[in-house]
Amino acid sequence: MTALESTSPSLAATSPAFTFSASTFQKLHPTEFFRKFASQGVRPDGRLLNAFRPTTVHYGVITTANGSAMVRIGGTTVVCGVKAEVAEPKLHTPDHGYFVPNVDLSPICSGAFRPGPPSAQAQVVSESIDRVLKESKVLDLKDLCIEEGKAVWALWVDVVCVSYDGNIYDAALTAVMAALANVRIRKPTYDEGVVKVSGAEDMNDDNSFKLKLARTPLSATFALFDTSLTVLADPNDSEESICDGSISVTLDEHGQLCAVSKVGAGSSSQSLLKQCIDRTRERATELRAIMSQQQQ
Amino acid sequence: MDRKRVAGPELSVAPLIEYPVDHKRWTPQQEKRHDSKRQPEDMRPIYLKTGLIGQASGSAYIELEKTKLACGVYGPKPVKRIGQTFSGRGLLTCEIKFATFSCAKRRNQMRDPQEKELSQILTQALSPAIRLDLLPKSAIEVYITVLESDGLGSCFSAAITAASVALAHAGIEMLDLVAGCSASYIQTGPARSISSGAESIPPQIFMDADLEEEKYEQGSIVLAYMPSLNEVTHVLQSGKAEGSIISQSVEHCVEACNKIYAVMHHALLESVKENQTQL
Amino acid sequence: MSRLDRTRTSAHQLRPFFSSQNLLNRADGSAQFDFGGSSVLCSVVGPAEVKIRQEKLDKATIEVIARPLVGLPGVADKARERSIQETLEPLILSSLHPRTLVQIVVQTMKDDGCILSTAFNATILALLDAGIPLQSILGSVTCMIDSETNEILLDPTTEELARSKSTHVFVFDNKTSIAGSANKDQAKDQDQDQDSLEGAILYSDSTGIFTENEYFECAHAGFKAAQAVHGFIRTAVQKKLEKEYQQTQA
Repeated sequence: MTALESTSPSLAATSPAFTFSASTFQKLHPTEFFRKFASQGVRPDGRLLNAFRPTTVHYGVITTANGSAMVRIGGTTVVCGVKAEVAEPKLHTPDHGYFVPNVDLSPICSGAFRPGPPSAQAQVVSESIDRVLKESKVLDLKDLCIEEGKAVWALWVDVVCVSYDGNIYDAALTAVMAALANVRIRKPTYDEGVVKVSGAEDMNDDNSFKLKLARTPLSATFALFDTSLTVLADPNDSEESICDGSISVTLDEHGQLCAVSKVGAGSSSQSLLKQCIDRTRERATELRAIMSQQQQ
Repeated sequence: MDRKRVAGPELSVAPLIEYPVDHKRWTPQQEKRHDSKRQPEDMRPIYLKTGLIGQASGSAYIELEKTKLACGVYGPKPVKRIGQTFSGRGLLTCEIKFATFSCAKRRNQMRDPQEKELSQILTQALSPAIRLDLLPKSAIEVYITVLESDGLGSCFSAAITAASVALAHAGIEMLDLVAGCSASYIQTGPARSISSGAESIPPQIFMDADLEEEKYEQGSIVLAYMPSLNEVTHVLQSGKAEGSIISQSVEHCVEACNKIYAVMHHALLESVKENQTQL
Repeated sequence: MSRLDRTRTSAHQLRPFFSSQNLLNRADGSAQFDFGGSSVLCSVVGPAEVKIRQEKLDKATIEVIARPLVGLPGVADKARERSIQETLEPLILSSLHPRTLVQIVVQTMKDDGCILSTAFNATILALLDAGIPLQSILGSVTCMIDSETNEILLDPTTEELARSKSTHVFVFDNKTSIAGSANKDQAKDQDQDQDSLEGAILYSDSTGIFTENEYFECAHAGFKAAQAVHGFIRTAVQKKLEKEYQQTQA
């Protein structure tokens, strides 16, 4: 807020003949408005270009789910709930369970989303998360086997966006990983086509199990602004709408890359990508610290 | 098959829960509520906060212990649909969505009939309070996402409360806030048998019943009420109960709504204060 | 060192290219592009009338529809559509045709790995065929890192992909590579030669488990291979124009 007010007189000074307030300028020429800030190395919300918004992670917020987490990155709030149900395995993979992540961008979180089937954006985010987690082999689907060829666990991992303010991929991936770490499933018994779990009150290590996660991939997303490809870490909604492209880097805790994607905007040099990867390393370490702090 | 989502198995079911022999389940015969700290007329503590959704015109988040839901209001905005006949009154649409993980059994991502019905009832419960006559050719959209539901009645009444607070937060002119409250009729004594029907005790009214209590209910009521105007906007009564019980529970609900009103008031005042400090 | 794909001897060898333009006579432009056993047919309609909902006041709307080999499109196809659309948006000089629609349909014909790369190459050929003004052309190559030998394999087949540790799709435009080769002429120095050959990345999509070095090695290998694709596209267009010229002469 302060950054906006302090620069508004100078913005007005540039067009003496026809002046209007900073907020009108922002609405009329969002790109030009942002360019003025970017040229000074700051953003309208007061952040530096490579700064991420404050992030919080809360575990176990939903008691009806086997595992859940709420993640907030600035104004973006997502809740992820994991539900384990019993399903029949596929014929060619009789001992593999199911892992089904889906992101829901419902109209509650932003005026840009319409009710009805998932938007293209929601589908793309769901698909990216599904692919990253499967390709980097986070979960061994064989761990989800109850009785080979008969019954396996199906993990329904649903992410609900409650409030949308950009960077849904980072928020959703963090929420999915936190919720998976929070999952507890009661140990099942298989008996002639029926899967039973004990209904004893408390879940402990004897009657339930946690998921074995091979790694915890976490991501950082950068928007590319203008033809100069100014890198904006953790873009919010208004920044996303004026940027043409983005770079997303996903890393696991050993510093290995799990996914790199660069979409849209012009061609970017490899050093720019390297810069983003380096920044992601710092961000992922911070994020891991936030997550482990909350986990106890 | 839903092609717009990552595909999972076509059919999956919750595992069968097997209770140990010595497992003690709560039953209403124990003369106590499921949450032993509560008296029959007690509600769960309410946490209500406005302004969690930055992009919405108004928003509210409500929590009654385990029941959690968020509400976002968008509008008033011009009615987009071309060909829609001119309307001198604003158009209110409400949509309730249960998150797939919000209930004991996983819910479908697609809108089910229950959600449609509840959305419809919510519209009916809210519209008498809104000055829709001041908003010709405009639409107001109310979206509710239930993150966790612990009892359908209480969840729905929380939705009414949250929605009216979110509407007020959006600065939409209203006659009064609408508070929602639920009650269940539960037979606490020995179950009525046909032979000795007349002698059995009348069912007890449990305010704001949770999921475990709802399993034993004979019937339930959800009341939407405007506290300052002392007017009821909607009554949803289901199940069987004697007339006297119903009128008694309406009274109980009105009383509880007055209490909820204080909480709503407080939440809105807080949001005004926050705005002032920001300025 | 032999590959699972017996037809190829070296890890950096691409499968034979094949392309054919102007296959569909009802579309404004169309092309088919093959990487060995993978084939994608692409059609372009535009600039055409746009729905009011999609209309952009200062530029053309670009719509991509991806169709799978069998069945109905799912989320994976949606992701492919998005990738192609967002990559083409800065490439097409869309401000020349404001308030119009350029519709691109990408249909998989045969799938033997690297469908996204094949689709990118087919799309650019179809856009050239339709005469849509472009800023530059692009060339796309997929590579993977073998989980057993840790070797970078270019243009892998489905069989090879099953053994991959990570897969990488790259798109390079020909603008930056021309600049690179121009630099090469000026600077005879070996080190600078290496630098100038580092192509700027237009689109990159990598998944799996890999290190930063592996990623940039793949980018390097991909860039070199993309030069071959660029060359091929140029020859294809050249041949097509020659043929058309002869037809007009006759």
